[in-house]
Amino acid sequence: MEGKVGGPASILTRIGGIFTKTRDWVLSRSGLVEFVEETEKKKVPKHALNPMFCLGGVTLVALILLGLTGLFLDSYYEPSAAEFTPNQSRAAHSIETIVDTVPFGAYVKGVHGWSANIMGITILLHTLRVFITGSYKNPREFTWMSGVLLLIFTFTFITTGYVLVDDARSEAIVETFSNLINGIQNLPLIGGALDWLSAWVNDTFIGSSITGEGVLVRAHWIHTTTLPLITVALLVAHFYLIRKHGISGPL
Amino acid sequence: MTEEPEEKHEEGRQFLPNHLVDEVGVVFLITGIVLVVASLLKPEQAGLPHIFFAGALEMMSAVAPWFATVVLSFLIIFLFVLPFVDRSEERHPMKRKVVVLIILAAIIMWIAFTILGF
Repeated sequence: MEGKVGGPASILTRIGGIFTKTRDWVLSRSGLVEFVEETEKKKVPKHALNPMFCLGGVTLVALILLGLTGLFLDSYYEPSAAEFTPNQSRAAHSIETIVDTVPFGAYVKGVHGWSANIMGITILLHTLRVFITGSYKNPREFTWMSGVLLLIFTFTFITTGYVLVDDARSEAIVETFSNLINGIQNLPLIGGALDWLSAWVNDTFIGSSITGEGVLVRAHWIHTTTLPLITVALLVAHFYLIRKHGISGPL
Repeated sequence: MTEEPEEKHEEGRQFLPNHLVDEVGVVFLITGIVLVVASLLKPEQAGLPHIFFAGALEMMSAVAPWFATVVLSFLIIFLFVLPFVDRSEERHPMKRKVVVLIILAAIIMWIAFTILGF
């Protein structure tokens, strides 16, 4: 129905026209016309409207929240095992400062922690869903492999993030990692030959002490630089492959 | 070169804008849940990651370290090469009993060690 000139319907029509023109201008300038036209033709299969097919998306939302809150936290965090007081390292003290002194610090740290919990749980459930529906099969082998790498890196994120807190449980985590690596040299038959591997990993990532300065500095570097770069690259590959091969059919 | 199997999809709903609007809704919902939970609980209560590691910690103390290394390495490598181990075209879990049993055993082991260690 045509609205009167100057009436509410006419204003809405004008706004709609401006929106369409702006959209067309942005698409033509950015070269995304074909991409959007192709996406407009896409349909989501009925079986994929199940919430279990949403878990990958929820994991991504949690990762974005982790990135945003992580940037904030990192601007106050000090990756140093040096003593601040006899019972507290500078790293632990900087976390205490974030929680007690920095405006909204406790809240942002809470969002970071809960997002990590959600991400850990949803990526496990997402992997389980893909496994149960057999969606890793031909032609989605690379999609699965990039997903498994993302799963491993998610838990490396959680592990290194936990180490950065620098409390008793952080030490337990580093000790577990160290024991797992030392386990290599005790392997029956091949352990002796792999001695160099456990020594190299231990020397490189842990150093002389599991509570030492080196552990914190390297965990911080891995958590804030290496892992984000690798994860973003893998995510791009994962999404490209999902778009290329589409969602797997119903069982 | 292996041929891609044909997949039959039931006609679904339009991705743009119908499904995308719902997805954006889910994004806001999840973000909202995290923001509300974080505002209601103290930051130190977000210590759930302990659940992820309690199993590994308990396993290390219950069995020889080299055995834990072997089991965890096997699981990671098995997951990674799964599409090349399970090459059949069957996708229903009941028709992939061997791989389902291996993963089920791993899940039960992880839950058991987590309960013991928590």
